[in-house]
Amino acid sequence: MHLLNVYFFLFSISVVQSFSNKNHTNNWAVLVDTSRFWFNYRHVANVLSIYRSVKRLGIPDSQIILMIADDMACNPRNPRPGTVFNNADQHINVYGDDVEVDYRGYEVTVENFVRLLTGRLPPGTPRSKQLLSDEGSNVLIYLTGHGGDGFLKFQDSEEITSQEMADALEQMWQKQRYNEIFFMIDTCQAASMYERFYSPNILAVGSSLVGEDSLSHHVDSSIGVYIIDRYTYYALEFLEKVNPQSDKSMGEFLKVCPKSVCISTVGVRKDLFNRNPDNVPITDFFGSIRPVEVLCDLSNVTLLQSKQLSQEEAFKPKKYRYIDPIVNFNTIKS
Amino acid sequence: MGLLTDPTTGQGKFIKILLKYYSYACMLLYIGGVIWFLALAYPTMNANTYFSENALLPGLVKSQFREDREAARYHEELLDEMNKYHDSIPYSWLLAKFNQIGLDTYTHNFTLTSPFNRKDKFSGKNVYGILRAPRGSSSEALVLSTPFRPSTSAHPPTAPSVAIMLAFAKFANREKYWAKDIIFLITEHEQVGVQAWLEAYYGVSCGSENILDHGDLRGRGGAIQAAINLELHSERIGQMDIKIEGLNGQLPNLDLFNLASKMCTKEGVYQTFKNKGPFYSRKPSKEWLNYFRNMLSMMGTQATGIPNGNHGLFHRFGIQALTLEGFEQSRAKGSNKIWFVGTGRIIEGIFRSLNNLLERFHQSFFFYLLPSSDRYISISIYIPSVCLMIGTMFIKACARWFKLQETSCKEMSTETHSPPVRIDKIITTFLVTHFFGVLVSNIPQFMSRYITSLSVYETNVKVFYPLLACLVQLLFIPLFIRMRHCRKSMELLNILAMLELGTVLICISMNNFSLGFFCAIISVPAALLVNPSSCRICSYFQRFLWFLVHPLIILTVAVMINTYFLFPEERMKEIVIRGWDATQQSVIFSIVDSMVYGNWLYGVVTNIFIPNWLCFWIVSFCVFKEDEIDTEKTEDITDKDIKKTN
Amino acid sequence: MSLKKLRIYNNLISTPRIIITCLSAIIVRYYLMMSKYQSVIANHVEVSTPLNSWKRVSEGLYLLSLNINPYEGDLLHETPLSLYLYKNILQVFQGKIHLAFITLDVTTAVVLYFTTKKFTEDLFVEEEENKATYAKDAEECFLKPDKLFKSSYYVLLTYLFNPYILFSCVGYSTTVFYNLYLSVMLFSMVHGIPVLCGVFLAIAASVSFYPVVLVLPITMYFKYAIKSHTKIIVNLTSFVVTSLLIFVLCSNFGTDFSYIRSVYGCILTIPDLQPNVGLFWYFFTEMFEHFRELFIYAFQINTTILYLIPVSLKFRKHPFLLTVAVNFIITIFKSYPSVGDVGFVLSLMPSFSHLFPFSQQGFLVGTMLVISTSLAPILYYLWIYCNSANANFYFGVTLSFAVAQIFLLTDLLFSQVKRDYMLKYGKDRKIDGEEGILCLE
Repeated sequence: MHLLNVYFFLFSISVVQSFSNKNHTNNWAVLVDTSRFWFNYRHVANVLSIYRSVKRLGIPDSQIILMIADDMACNPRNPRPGTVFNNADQHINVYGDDVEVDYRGYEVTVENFVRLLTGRLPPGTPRSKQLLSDEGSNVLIYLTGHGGDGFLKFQDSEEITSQEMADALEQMWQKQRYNEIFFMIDTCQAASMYERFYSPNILAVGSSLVGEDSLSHHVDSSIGVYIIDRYTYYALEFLEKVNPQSDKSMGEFLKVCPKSVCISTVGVRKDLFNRNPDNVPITDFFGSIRPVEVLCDLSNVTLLQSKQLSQEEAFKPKKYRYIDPIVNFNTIKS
Repeated sequence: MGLLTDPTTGQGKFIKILLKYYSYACMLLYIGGVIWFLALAYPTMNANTYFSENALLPGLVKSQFREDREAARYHEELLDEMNKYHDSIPYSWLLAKFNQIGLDTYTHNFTLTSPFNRKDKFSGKNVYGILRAPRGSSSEALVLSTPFRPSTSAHPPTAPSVAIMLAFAKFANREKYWAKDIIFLITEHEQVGVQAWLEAYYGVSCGSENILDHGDLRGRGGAIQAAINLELHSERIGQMDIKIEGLNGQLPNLDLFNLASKMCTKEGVYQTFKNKGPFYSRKPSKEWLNYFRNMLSMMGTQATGIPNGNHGLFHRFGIQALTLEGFEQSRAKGSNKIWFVGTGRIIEGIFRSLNNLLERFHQSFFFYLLPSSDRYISISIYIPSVCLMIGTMFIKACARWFKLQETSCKEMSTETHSPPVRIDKIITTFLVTHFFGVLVSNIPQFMSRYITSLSVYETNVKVFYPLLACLVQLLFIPLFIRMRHCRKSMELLNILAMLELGTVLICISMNNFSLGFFCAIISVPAALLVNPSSCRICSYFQRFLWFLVHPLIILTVAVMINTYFLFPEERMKEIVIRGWDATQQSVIFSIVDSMVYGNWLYGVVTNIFIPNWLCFWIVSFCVFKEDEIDTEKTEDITDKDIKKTN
Repeated sequence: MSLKKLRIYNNLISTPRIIITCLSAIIVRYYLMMSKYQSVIANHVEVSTPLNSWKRVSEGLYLLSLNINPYEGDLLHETPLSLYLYKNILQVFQGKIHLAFITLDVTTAVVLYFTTKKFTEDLFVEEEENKATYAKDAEECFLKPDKLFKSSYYVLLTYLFNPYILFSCVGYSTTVFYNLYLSVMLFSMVHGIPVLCGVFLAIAASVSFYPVVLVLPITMYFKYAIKSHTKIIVNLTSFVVTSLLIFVLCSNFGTDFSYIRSVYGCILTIPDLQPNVGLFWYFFTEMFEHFRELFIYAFQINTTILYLIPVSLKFRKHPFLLTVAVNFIITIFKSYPSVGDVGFVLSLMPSFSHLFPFSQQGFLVGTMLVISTSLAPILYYLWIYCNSANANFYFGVTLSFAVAQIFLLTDLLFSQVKRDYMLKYGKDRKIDGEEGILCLE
């Protein structure tokens, strides 16, 4: 018995280490706007801008879960029906032709969001509404809305607390639903949302520290609303210069929007993240790696990776040991 | 378990202290209330106004209104039309213009029967056009209204506001971002028109029956959320005054006031509240004085309960509304004047912000005082001042009550029997005074309805003099009350009256703080001084003092002072005559207001204040001999002694 | 000897006086019902709650006449038996509903008059019998017959001219019926008629559920005041039998149970959060949905059984006071109280006039009741019609209304305790030469 325990212990250490060294196999993005109403136009613009960027950098629509709490484009107050802009110059309509909104309006609830992350969706949920990530997925989670110390408001009627958020991510980890997570949040007191995280391999960035407000960037006076938030604006400015082949690192991305332009202090949490962000290419989260694509200029790395993967094959049957025993029992039975 | 322990133990001491010092406490509280009120105008007690409704997004949008030429043309045409019809609304022209612009256009007929002469009927016609929200669900609406004043009207002209309204309608109809219907309303006969239109819109009747026949509307928009009333007296506006005081002292949401004020500032017009702009001074005393004057001026208007513009009638229906009154002449030196472009942009800005609203105004304050257009005092800050004053009524009543009990305890122990307290008689007296109050309040209706032979006389003869006669007769009530010889009964009546006064003042302050405050500051000290007393001089002094706070006397004095300030150059005699006429007029107007609009000032004064005043009046006529009790006491003691010796 | 004394005081209040009082009450009610204020009063939430509004009853009767089950919607919360009763009353009075309400209200007042009369007589007789056991210097708290025997008349007066009762009668709230059931129950209890008592207790309980807890005080009454065990059994049996009968009749001989959800479900789970003078509506509008169940249990236990046992133990020697007190607790804390309920308990207060000298908070309670009653409609108007005040204002008023009632109740109960103490140990409260303090622990 004791021997068995020791064996498992050693085994788990080796697994964790091998995971942390391992690179990811696919990319997912969960982009959420939690607030409705016309005067929160900027939140919709925020999330649609990020959506546009990640899509441009290669994550396909099938791997982006876009949650938007209100339909700004068709709001009767919108002087430009059917469009959403993220800049007063209005050169990019972020609500373009191929936007796939997966959860919209009143579907954007805390329950749906947590179910989506943890994969506890009712049977029969369409694939577009599921986060079908696995242990090789790098997941980008982007949240925007109205936050407070330790919570994020959903739809003006309910809220998710930082503890609930942290527990949801832990459950994802235990269910091996991710390899690494980049958690990005643009709300007031954003840092309070990631303070409770305790699961490994999460890199988190928030637009403001606890006690600070995140501010909007500028007004589009023809629409008459604040059109985008500061942090997202500067993050986008950075992302616009990135292309799928670029070698910009996450370290550079984390330095985006210094206090002089952001007014709020951008908060970063690296302690759960095992790699040095400076060595992590930004495309690890914002771009997409598909198993079929082999990049020639990084051939050495891919070779190493494939070797490791083949080593992993041997352990594969045991990867479900984290799953709840009852669930396991049932599956065996059936 | 504090409640369940013997209440006498702790309270005994408390009551002793109360009995000993209650008169000082009352005095202190009253003075405290007055000081608190004076301090309200001090900048640390009030705060800068701010927007608490995020959805308004005030002033973010770039103004696009450019229809100033149209406005000028409409203005010219309207002036021509007005020359054709001297004293009626040129509705065919207005209908044609609204139709031309492309609105759903309707007219609305209403009839007002004169409250004092059923044969006199006035009819009027409102014109309104509805701009349907192009992409919205038409479930909500905004109103832009303006009173139409024919060239013969005594009030300053409003033709420019009709012109700018038409121009704005033309502009707005082109835009596609409206989420709410906009109703453009042009009313006739000042406030009667708006009242009739609103009653017809909601299908209710607010005043007495058969006075205002509100007619019917053929077209309606959604639920009205806000209304802006325009009274522009000139094409060029040098000063924009914002008026907010409504019927029965109701105020619109402070956010709406802030919005209007911000838009005016944005367009660069000198924006005022109560004819005073934002004021800054390094001298605290000067600043205080300025704020205080402005606050008093607002409270004066609010206390009358008469709306100072057409906006005031919307409030009752839960619609936030205010009036923008534009003057050509500005009080500020060197301020610039805006033309139709500017006023149009102010309206555009306000309406686009209102269009952004997602729910009713609910965020900011509904109960506030404004010492300046950019400062406010919230209810939690100002209500203590009146509460302190009203509190004295309850404290004194409480102290008197315990004193009464104490004396009756003493009497029980000494087994004396002063004349028995007849509670039923006290209550009867109390009810009878209120019955008289109800009678007084019904006199005007009675006179106008049943005594038709008087219809040849003027209204003041028909209504005011009978009322005055009744009030004078009521002064003699105390002489018919026999129990004024019983000290205890009088004490009880006094306590009852004080409790009533306190409760009524609280209720009024909740509805209309200014009225409640003014009533409290006048009646409370007098009521504190009225006691059943045996001293003849004191009692005469009490009667004199209490006579001075009779509602009618107060009204007369207030009107006289007002007349004096309005016509300072006239001689005393003329001022008195004028003032007396004005008093009669104001009583008659308050009766008319109560019958047409449902203003409750007249009803409250006659049904509650006059009976309450009478109760105190009876108390001040209390006649008894101080030594009465003492002699009885000594007699009894001797009796007892005799018994003991036996 | 005591009976002789009683006879002297029997004619203290003459019958013509009672008749004149009743007549004037009828006139006042009739005038108000015919005036334009009737609909205003009837529409006030303080008078008409979802449970007792006549509007809903007439709606239900209409549905019934169309053969539609009135309990299918969320409209009617009266039992089928009450509905049947209303239908018949309407037929008897030929649709003149105001006459029916006036008759019932005045009947209630007269029943209460006789109840108090018997109660005060019993009280007096009891004291005469026990005088020997009282302390020597307790004379001054002995009952004063001339005052005591007037209290029944004061009960009549307060019931008939109590503004709360007046409004509830003029506003056609079915609390008038409920008050009649309660008054007959009290009457038969005091007169020692167990069958009638049980029957009317069952009826009252079937209408408003809460009176179920009155079983305990009534049993106490038969045990300690009437001292008859057979009557207890008869009373309980008649209560149970009538309850079963009502159930059978209401459920249409066990075929239709839809009324249970509408009536008792509504009383117990508070689905309708229309404001009223009680405390439930505000708490349940503010509450998060998942705490609702817990607080429903907490609130209903508070209303029904939390105070029942301790109060019953303490005041078992004064079962009439106990019955009134338990009824008072129900009135304060029930889910849909109206001013009619409050008026009923308040008008019983004069029957405890012998306790008034010991009460301390009469003035405070009176002032609080007056202020909160006059502010309530004003704040409701400002909140609902003018949109300027909000629910917190109105709740503040209902809270102070409830606090005033609680003060009144505790004051009354404590007065009884003090009187008992005085009778037992005399006026002197000195302990070791110092003034002692009475404490309830």
